Amino acid sequence: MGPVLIVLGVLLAAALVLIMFVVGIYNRLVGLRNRYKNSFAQIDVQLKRRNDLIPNLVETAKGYMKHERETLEGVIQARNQAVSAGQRAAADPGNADAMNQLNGAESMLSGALGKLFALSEAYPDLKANQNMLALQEELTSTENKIAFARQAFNDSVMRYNTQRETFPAIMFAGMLNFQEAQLFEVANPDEREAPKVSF
Amino acid sequence: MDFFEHQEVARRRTGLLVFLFVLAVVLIVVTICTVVGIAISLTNDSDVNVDLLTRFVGTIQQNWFVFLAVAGGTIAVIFLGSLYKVSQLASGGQVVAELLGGRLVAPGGGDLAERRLLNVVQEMAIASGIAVPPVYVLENEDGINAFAAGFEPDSAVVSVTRGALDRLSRDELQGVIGHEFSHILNGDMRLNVRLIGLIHGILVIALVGYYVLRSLGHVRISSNKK
Repeated sequence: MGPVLIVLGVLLAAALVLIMFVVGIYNRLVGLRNRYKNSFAQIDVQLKRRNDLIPNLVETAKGYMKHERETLEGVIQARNQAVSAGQRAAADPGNADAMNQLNGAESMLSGALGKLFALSEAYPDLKANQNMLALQEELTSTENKIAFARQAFNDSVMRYNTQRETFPAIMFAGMLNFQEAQLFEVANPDEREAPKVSF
Repeated sequence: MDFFEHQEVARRRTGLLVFLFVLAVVLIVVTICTVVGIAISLTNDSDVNVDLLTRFVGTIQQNWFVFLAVAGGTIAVIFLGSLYKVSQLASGGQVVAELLGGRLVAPGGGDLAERRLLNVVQEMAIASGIAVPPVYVLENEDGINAFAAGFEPDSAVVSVTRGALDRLSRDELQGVIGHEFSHILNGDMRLNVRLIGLIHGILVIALVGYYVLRSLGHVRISSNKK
């Protein structure tokens, strides 16, 4: 009876150690997954902020750029499309199609804004307007924040994926339902080019 | 070599330098013990015919308790000296910024240059994944300079001079602030405070020696305090 008991005891101890080990892996992966989900939400915060700043910008510019209706209306249209794309993506976060449409709308808005700012170079009165300067600074900052939020998102996705793919976590990742996370990448190669502005 | 490889090389170099620093402290303790040992061997006139080295080894063997006390005392002096300095410096970054004449930039307001500075700091905080630190401006400084102070990332502050605010473009300001954030993120400030503490601890030994020599009879000593 003695040796059987000892063997059973050792097996039980080994099983307990294995379970604790797997629990540790699981908890670590959960923590990293939540972190990259949070990073993704931060991008949305900046996108919304940009959408909110734009109507004010267009109103300020309208007074000075009376003959540039097309450009101004282009900005408003792009902004409205970005807002609705954002709402659709928020309603269905897992949908890759909605995500792609959102990215497309956002980059179109970036292009339209770039055109507006380049055009405003030709209107010195508008350039000197304090309100315009403040708005321009806020929008530039928001564009940068969007870019950095995407960068931070990619960093946290990288950390999660690395932790998930290393040994020994990789052995249990599949059975614990931890999928590989997607980095934010420029889907459309055209988006890599800066918007061309011609007068 | 890409960005991450540069990071790893820098971290390895820092590790090596810290190791060499600790080695230097150990060698100081060993040197002091050796000096004490030689002094004891010289005054130990039990066997004048034996050479100094044998006497030295013999002294260590006979008086190992004394050496333990000397080594322990030296380490204690260094440790207490560094502890004092560290507790002085670790009171938070805001103390340092205000000591240097910095003015806190209010989070909401400010003129265009200050708004730009606050925005740049927020951008870097997003990029590095840490909280936005308080921002100070050194109004009286015309040159271009910046620093980060504080013991922990939570109590860190970032400060720039008036000259930096006025003369740098937005991209240049972003680069400078990013550099300061890397100091916060990599724990450089904590490392610096600890190293300053250790140096102070070593200096305490010199101070002890200075006072001992002075009290031995009003000896004129010229000291080079840099």
